[in-house]
Amino acid sequence: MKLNNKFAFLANWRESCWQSLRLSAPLLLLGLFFECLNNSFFQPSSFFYQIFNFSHWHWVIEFGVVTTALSQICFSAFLLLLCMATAAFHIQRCRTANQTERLQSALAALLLLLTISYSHRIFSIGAGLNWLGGQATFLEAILVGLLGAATYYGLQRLFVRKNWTLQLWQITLASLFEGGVIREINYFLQCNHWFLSNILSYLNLSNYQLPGVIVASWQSILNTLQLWIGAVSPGNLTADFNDDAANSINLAAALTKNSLKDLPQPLNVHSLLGSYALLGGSGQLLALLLVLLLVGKQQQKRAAELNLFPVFFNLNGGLLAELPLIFNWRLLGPLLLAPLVSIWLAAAAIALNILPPAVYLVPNGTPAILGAFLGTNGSWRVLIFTILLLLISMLIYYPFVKSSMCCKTNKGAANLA
Amino acid sequence: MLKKQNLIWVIGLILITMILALPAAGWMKKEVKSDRAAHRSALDPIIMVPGSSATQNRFDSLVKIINHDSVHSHSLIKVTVERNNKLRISGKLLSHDHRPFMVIAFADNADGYQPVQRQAAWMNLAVNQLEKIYGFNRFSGIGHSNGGLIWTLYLEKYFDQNRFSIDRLMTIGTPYNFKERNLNKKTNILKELINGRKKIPKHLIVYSINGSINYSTDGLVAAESVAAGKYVFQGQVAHYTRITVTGDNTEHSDLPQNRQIIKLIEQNVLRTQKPQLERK
Repeated sequence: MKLNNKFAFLANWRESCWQSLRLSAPLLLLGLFFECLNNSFFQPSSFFYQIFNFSHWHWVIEFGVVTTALSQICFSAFLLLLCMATAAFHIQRCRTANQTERLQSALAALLLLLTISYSHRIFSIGAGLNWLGGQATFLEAILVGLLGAATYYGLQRLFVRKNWTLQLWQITLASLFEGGVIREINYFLQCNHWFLSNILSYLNLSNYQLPGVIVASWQSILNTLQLWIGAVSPGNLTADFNDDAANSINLAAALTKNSLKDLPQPLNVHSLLGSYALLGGSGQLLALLLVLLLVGKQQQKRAAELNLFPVFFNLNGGLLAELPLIFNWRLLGPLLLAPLVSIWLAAAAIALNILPPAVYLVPNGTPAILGAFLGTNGSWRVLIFTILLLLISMLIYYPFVKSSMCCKTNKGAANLA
Repeated sequence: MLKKQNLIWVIGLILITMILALPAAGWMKKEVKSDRAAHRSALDPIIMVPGSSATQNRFDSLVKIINHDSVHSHSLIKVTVERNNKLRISGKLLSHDHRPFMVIAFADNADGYQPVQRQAAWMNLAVNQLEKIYGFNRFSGIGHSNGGLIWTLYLEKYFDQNRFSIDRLMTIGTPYNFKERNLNKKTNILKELINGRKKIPKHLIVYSINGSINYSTDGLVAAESVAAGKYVFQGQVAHYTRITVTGDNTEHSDLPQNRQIIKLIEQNVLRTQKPQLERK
């Protein structure tokens, strides 16, 4: 019975997360459109800017500045809304709260968020709120939202027990105090980010002398888990490891002998994971998106259509929020499996000299499918192989999408609506 | 349920990718070419290896004549590898000289199969040390007599194509089959060189020159032994050219000072394209 209660709490917690993610998703999607334009069109190092030589149009860079600002505003607004909505929805699920209680809970979360984010120590780099502007992760916003709900709930219970009436200024004061304490603890612990977001990055195997396939597979699992728990920023692209030491050695060798044959380390994180297993970001989400377009229900199809543009350029945050993928147990299997299968197939093809390893650096914001193609200096075999991997990943997602998204998730979604 | 009209999304995405791939591939090829030019070191030395019994001064006359013919003098850096693997380096790199001559000689400069093997290993030591000092990643090669054998052994056994590139190699009076005239009787050195030929860089351009004072020999090395080089290079490198030089100074020991050979060096080794120092 106790166990069931615990699970009920977790289910409530997850439902309120999903509900708030869906509510805030439009803001995120807007931010992703601006980010995409900036990453792939307007930045001087971006794909379209380089390929179609936009350098003689000066307004393009100015547009880039505008889209950067707009995307940061959208991401900040998204994170604030996500945090506040999580608090409000969670308090409603826990104790069928009225509108005032939901608002007060959201206020507690907002104050916590702003206090934790505020840092007078980084004024030197021109920012007071280091947390916002798209730098924070989904998970952090959700956890602060839950903390806000818990703060409000705790205060309420305490005041009821003492027969006092809880007032707004008391919630404000308590939230500011709690946020300040968390901020100081975080500073004391000297974390790069204030909690959880970078823990998985400490587990990478790049520093050990292990075969490239193992390192790439492990890194892929870490990336996917990071995505699945929402420990990713809304606008950040997954690293493609082109600055990895092994790739630098390969690049120097390829440039020296003008060939991609017999490179010192053909199987490495960049040539496997970065080139073939990040189609639409971690988890081969472009494949999932295409499966949703093909067989998804109306609502899923709409979400996929809206996210096609950003996911094509590897920005998958919108899909993460709209479906949602965060803490979605049923999709964890294919999320892990699709990139792993791609890595293993690519490793076999490179080891058997069927394909050259991708080595050359590609422009920022290059469409996912073209990464390996350009990294091999335009090998058409590689492009066909990449498309083949995309189709295989779609086949991996297909049964899971049919069984889970069409039933449970959608049922939940219907309830949320 | 999968509807045919939904497939348009997938087909459309693949089509857009293909359309984008065309200009992107063109751009990438230009970029890689430019990166490659920027990656090649500005310094492109000509490394010369003398034959058996010769010292680091073997090519002094050759460099003197070339410098006399040139507007800008080429530096001459000499290295002698001692028996204990220590290097004795002399000479100075002149400013603005991208094509210095570097001579690698050996204190143990004996003739024969085993000494040549040791000398190839010493050559590897010397090239690595010169690379550390002068920071180049490409060079051309000239080998006189057994110096050509040392060069070929070095390329097969020690040359790291991921670190260095070599565009041209000129061997002068090199006895690929030692003193054996009959090409059906392959000596140990020729057999070894043939076995390892796959490791020679494919884009290499090789010139094999022999002197002829009496139709068949330069007085020491038989024309047939020089010709045996075809079994090593032909079909493996980009171009393999054999040239026979006759007339004055065509005796084996005179070949490095021979005017025709110096002209060949100037035309085919020295006058290569200048490095592109900066990206556009």
